[in-house]
Amino acid sequence: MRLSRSALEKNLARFASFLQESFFADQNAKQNGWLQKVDPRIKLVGCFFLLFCSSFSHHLTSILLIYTFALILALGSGIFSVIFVRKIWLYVPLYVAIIALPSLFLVHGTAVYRFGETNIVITKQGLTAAAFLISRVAVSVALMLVLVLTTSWQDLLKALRTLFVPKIVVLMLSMTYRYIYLLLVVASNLFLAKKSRRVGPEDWRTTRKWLEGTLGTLVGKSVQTSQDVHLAMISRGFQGEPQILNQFKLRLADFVWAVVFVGVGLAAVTIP
Amino acid sequence: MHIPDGYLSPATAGTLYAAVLPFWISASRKVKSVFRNKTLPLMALMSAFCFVIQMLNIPLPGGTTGHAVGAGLTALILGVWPSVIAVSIALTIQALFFGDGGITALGANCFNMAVVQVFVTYYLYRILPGKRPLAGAIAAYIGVNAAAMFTAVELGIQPLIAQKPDGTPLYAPYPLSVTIPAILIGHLIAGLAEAAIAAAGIAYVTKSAPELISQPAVEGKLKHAWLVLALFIFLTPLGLLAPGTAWGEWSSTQLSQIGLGFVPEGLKRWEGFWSAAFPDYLIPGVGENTGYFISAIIGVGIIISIFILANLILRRFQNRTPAHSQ
Repeated sequence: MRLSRSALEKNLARFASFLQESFFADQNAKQNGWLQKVDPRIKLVGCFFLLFCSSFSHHLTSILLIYTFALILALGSGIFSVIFVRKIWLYVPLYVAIIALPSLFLVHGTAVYRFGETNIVITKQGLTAAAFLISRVAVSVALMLVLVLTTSWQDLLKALRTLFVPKIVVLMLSMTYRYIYLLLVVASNLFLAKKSRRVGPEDWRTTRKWLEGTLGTLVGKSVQTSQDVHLAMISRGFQGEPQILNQFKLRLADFVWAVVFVGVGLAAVTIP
Repeated sequence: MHIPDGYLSPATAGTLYAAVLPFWISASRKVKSVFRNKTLPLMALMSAFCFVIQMLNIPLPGGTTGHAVGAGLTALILGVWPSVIAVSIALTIQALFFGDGGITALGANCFNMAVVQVFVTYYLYRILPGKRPLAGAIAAYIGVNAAAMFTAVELGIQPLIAQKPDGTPLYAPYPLSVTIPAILIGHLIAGLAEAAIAAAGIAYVTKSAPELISQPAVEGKLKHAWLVLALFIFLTPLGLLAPGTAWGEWSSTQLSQIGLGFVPEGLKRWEGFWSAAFPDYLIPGVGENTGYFISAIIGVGIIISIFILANLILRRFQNRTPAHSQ
């Protein structure tokens, strides 16, 4: 186990891109698009509803219909940008298509193409199965991106209450989300410090010791911070029951959007 | 190991949500009774820690890197029940905000990583004698492989339960004979990252900050350890292959049929499944199912033999170091 330069840099780059993407998501949520104006509860329930519709559907056309709708929403909300495109048209083909590819040959069924005189055949069933897998993943990635990129994380978490998620869980989710960034900055600094102090390769033992220390620091920091947060909460009057301000108000446009979401979902399920 | 949306049929996803629910309820009760008001910040920070751990690239032999689930180390430090919550929260945030793992598959992912991995790792660690970092590494390694095994089984049963009439799989297309070797062999290497993180974390914590190790009150009872292990490692993966699964799936499908209006086609499909698959299950030594059955047994066998081997080796160290405080 040698900590190569690339592993250190990989981690640093990963932290940086994570922070950048989160910042980007927050910026998008403040833009003036279609979905940014919609009540987060409607968006959340609507996107989840479409997700379930595509999940239950047994027809490619209905999945593609929902997918098209998600792309239209992305366009209308002004989030059809680099990150969206990269995730939709790079991540999905790259990771999912590779996983789906062998099914062309492995799924038994009617042969549509035979490689020469061999027994290797592409089957119709295999092609359809791969199409199902890719389109299902594509539609869910698109829907989640549309939801996350048009909603600030505070609103999204607050909207979870409409799905009967207990208050305490919502509060825990929001605290966790907040402290992920704190711990990431700590981790990032630890890695940067290591990178800037190292000359040449080092042996396995040193690396292991460093990794121990880094993880230990992170654990210690987490526990210490949690104690500080606890004291801060107590001193501000927290008694174990979180209070969540609810400033959401449904407008006419929100009801229209609710109808659109349900309409697309039902259309997708019933058309084929 | 994070299953995305679209790989699992609604029946499987629903069943696994139902399976993980009692663990969530039980965990939140136990944790609340021990930590009281402290619970919230502690769980939140530990979930954040678990999340950050998952982002770390750990160098592995052969010049590659892998990333750990982090559930192993979390279980070793926090104990069983708090870890169930911490890992679940981390997985939820990943699914909700970062697209890592699906929303419909969240129940499955939580079951595999926040329940199976946490329980297996924790109880193995308690049982294993010898040096703590080494025991932690072995426990975490087997724990992550147990979770991988569950993932493989869940994906592998998809072609059996969700097919079009012409045999086209509707969700994950590969049978158990493909998913089990593919995922398990991958994790035999990727699991090293989990082991490395657990060993490093435990080494530091036992040496420099032993007070961080989980409080006895939230630790599980050791006398149940073998029972839990036996339950997770032996029964359930095989149980998933036996007619018992079909019963569980059936009940959940019924539920989804009540809740949602897509009854007729689904029902027809299911009737077909029952008449087609049941006779094969009655005679497991015949036909394609033999492959599934044997591969499942081999997968479990590998895990068990690693465990027995590790136990034998570790016993040699037992006299040199005092066992971990109970």
